[in-house]
Amino acid sequence: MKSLMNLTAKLSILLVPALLAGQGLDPTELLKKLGTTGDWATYGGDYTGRRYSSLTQLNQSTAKNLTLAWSSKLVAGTQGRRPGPNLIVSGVGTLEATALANIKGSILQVNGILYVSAPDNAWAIDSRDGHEIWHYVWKTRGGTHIGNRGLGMWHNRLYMETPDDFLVCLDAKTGKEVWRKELADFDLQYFSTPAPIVVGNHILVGTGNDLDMPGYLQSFDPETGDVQWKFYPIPMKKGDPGLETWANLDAARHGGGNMWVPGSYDPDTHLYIVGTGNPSPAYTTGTRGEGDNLYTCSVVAINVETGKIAWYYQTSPHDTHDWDSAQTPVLIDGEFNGRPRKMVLQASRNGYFFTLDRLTGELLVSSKFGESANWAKGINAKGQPARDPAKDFHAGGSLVSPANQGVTNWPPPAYSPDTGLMYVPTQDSYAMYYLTETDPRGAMGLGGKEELALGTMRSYISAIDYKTGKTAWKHVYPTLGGGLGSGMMTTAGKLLFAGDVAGNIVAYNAVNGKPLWHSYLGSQVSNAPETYSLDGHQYVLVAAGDTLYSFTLY
Amino acid sequence: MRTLALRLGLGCLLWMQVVQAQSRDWTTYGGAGQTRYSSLKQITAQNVDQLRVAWTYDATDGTIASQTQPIVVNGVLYGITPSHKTIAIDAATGKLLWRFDSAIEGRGPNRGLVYWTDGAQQHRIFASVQSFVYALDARTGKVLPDFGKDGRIDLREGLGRDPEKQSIILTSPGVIYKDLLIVGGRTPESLPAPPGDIRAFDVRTGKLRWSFHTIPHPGEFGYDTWPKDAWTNSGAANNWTGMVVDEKRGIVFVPTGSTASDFYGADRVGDNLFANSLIALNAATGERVWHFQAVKHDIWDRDFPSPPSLVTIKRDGKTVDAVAQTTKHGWVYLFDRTNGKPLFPIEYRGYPASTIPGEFTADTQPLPTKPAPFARQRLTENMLTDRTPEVHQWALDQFRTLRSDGQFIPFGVDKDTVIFPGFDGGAEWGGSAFDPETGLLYVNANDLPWIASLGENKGGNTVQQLYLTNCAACHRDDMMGSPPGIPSLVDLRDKRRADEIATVIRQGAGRMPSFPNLSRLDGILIAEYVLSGLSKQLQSTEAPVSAPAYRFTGYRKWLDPDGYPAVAPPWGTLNAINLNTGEYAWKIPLGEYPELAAKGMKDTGTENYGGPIVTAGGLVFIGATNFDRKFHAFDKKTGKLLWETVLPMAGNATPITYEVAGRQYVVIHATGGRSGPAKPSGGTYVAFALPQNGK
Repeated sequence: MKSLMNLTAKLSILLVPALLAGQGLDPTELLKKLGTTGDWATYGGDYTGRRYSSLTQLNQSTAKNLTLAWSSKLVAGTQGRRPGPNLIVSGVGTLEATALANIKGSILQVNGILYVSAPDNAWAIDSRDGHEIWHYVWKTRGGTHIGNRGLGMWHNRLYMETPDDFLVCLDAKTGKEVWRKELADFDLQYFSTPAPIVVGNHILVGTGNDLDMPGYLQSFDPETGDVQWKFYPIPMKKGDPGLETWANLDAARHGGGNMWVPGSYDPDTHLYIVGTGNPSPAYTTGTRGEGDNLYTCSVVAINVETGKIAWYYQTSPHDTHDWDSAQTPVLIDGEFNGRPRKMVLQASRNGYFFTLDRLTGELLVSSKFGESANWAKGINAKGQPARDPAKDFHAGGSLVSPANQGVTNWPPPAYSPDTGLMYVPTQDSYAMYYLTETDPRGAMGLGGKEELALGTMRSYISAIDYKTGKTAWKHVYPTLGGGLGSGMMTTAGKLLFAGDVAGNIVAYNAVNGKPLWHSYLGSQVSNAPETYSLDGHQYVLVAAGDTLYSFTLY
Repeated sequence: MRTLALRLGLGCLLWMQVVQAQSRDWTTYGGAGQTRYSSLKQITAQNVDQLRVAWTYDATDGTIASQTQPIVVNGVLYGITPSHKTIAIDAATGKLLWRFDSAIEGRGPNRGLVYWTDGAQQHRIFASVQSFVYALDARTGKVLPDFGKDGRIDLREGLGRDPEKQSIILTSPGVIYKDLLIVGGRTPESLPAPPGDIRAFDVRTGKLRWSFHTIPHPGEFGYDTWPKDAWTNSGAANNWTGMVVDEKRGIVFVPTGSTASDFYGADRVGDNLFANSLIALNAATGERVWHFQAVKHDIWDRDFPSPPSLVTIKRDGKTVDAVAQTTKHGWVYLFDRTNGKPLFPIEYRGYPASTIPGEFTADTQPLPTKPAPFARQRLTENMLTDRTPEVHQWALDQFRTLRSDGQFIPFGVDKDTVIFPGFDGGAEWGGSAFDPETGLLYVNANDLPWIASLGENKGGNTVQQLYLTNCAACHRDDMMGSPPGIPSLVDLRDKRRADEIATVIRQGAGRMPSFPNLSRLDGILIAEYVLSGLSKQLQSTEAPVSAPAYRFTGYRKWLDPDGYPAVAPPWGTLNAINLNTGEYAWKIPLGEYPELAAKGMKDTGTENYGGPIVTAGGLVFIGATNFDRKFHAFDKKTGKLLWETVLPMAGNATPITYEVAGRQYVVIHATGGRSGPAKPSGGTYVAFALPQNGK
């Protein structure tokens, strides 16, 4: 009885105003390495894209005691809900795509509040218990609702891209819209998925489309929403570099290069290092000539103040398979050939791994990590995979590995400075590639072909040594098929977290890939695991479809 | 094996693979004797903080919570989805083995399933979908056509009234006694309503074996507590919350709810046996052994809301087999199972008469002298909310307009009357847990006041009258409802078409019963009235509205302008009551509003639905809390919180625990549905277990 009798007394003290949670995020906070604060404040946790946290409460001894702190099922849209102060409805359209949230993006954790997104939806969720603080719903004009990769935060504002090409700025406390700007022309089939990346007073926003307009990256002013600069990864006018790699200017101007996955940022050089998408048309190359089609399928380094390119490295010259190079570039400082070096790592969709010099783009290592990949004949003098024309799309069909999804894709990799290994979700898959458009002028966009998927033979985690490009170890998921596993996250507790293809979230020994702990969520982890620290507790957060799960030591 | 596999199909093969693992099961709704007790003790106070998610199964195929407590038999978990499909899941892995779809879209509570075996070849699952009970092969999920008509019985039949016009839905599962399936059912809260007959069906054939009339027929005991034709035209006095069987004694204990109409009884003068009663029946024959009526001539909807628990207590150095029954108004009754003798004295106290013409309340009502009630009984000025000074002032101003005199105060037309605890208890359908080691009974309860009044039916043959007679008791005269439990109809404008609303009126939805007595045209007319607010005169070809002289003006929680209870906390509690002594071992607030807790207002307790379980491992597990969605493990001796987690949706169902292949699991069906319209609802089964060696 005692606890109850004290209750009234206790409650009367509690009528003090709310402790203000969510004081906002100064952009200089983003320069701190993941784990040195409790937050996860940008797409990759910090700017490096390593998804490596220095938190150690969870480690190889304690991981086995992880328990579910909370879970939360999110419902997208307004269906069946009453308007209320914490449901904010906006948008320029009238449609709601689906009530089934599919959370593929990174979730921000800032000062005890999670900021979660799905196409047309943003939520503020309490990091301690998963309860909803507000929910923002964007009524859409339509378009491709394939995914949303997360939000960006600057002081008390949040930024989200919508599938129908708006950049919306929200008040992080209330979810109310501050402004919105059209970032691309919806009528030209653009759709926008990336997480905006905040660098100082720049909001870096990518977009693209699957038809015949070029992708681009813009920088917006965080307060006014004015465009500061615009970068196209393809030549747009006479005299632009790389024009000689296209059949003509018109082909270049419709040459693709979608900017659909956020990149990483090097504060020392002010370079935003990001991957570009496939050339267009993707599979019928008649209109774009036999050149390399720069800077499609490349890692590019862009000065965030000017929007000018500093260097590039093309991972699939003259791509004919949709092997975009959008996969997160990972920035590491480490030893190479006996001296310290600033580097960029990328494990590309085409099955090849690259270590580049971060200041110049110079190739240091390239290797094949997708074992079954058969579309290239080997590695050329520049370290790039040399495409085998016999493995293009053909009217009679060709047996190609990997299938369209690639050896890896957007699910982000992780890198641990403790092990020197980059962890990459990987699969060996095959498909029959048939060319259906035989007119030499080709098709538009992603048209002109059929693909008969033959299946995933193996799905695994590759742990790649950046110095040699060799796979130090693999953890093969025991389930047959299933496609690609989730993105990765690693910690100074020498742990690697990833969702497997059977619906488990698993903690591995980051040194050798041995499983240490798992929890079966019933459906696959749909984003990449994250970690944050709050009130002295380290949490591990994942999304599986429409449900968030947060684990901790009790 | 080959021919067997061909005949039984893949589901059966999967079933056989699963049942080969050794398991310690949870075979009945409410657990053995409705005690929600498990002798498993792998999970203990020392290691409960290491629980992890072993598996989840998202069964969401609708948004209305089914409130299901699953069962586990031979390592197979049998559950229900929000649209009332039956599912069989490997209880160790969460993998689906089979799914039964009756092709009827079920809506609302469907709290459990019944398993029966002859100990040899027959393994049956009895699954209810709306008015039907299906017999399924537990191995395959296939309907067993030898049961009833084509594998099902229709509960609307055999009540002595036109089956097409009856509304009866089995929302809580029946019980098994030998080869009998004994069931009650949910019926409407106002007339017309079918009688609440308790019925026993043959588990093999589905034939009716006996019926007990809760509204007695001429010549039966209690007939004189009703007007003489009540058995033909009155209704309800039904068992909607489940029952329990004492197999050794061959007695089934059946708690009943109020009769219809809930709040105005001028057409049912008398005590109205066996409404609001705990009835002990001979389980083989349906003959009455003893009974206890807790509310005579109920006009407050004070149902017995929980299945009773079979307990054994110590008294004067001897053990006594007893039955414990909790109530909506916050009390526990304890009776000797054999003869119904109260084990704590019951006093009959006097209460005021009704001022409503034609209404005759009973002079006295019974209340036990012990244990003390687990919810507050009378709202007084010093209990009002102190959440903010403004809200307190608001509550004080309101309170001074209300009548608040405690229990059994008849509602009036002049002013609003406080009913405390409210219409949703006190105790509710989740039931209570009993620990045979300690004699402690665990009861979770709501503790907030509601307000109520009656309105005079002005008569007239209008659609508005049709609405007021059939709909206003819940949705209120002004259509504002009592969200989130009872939705506002004002919100339907722009959202639903009249024909959609008419379908809901015809079929029911959530806790709303179906209204088969209303014609399709009536439904359309009411829907048009709801959407437009304009009342039409009914045409002479339509049946005139037959309305009682007074009607209930609607269920209203007494909430402050911000939507929080206008009383001071605790708004919900978990109680441990020693049934040997009648004293409380502990009592704690249960649940929080996360947004209030974030501001520092913690441990308020909140509304909670879904019961506790207790284990030999020293733990009480309970979800239930509406707003924080938590699943909790408490030390059963002290009430100390040892572990908690937040479920994807509120755990408004009772958990279970079982063991498969040496590993103990705890499963709760997270459904939501009571947390407000902005919150997700559906059905995800979440299983927790300790880490396995080396994994």
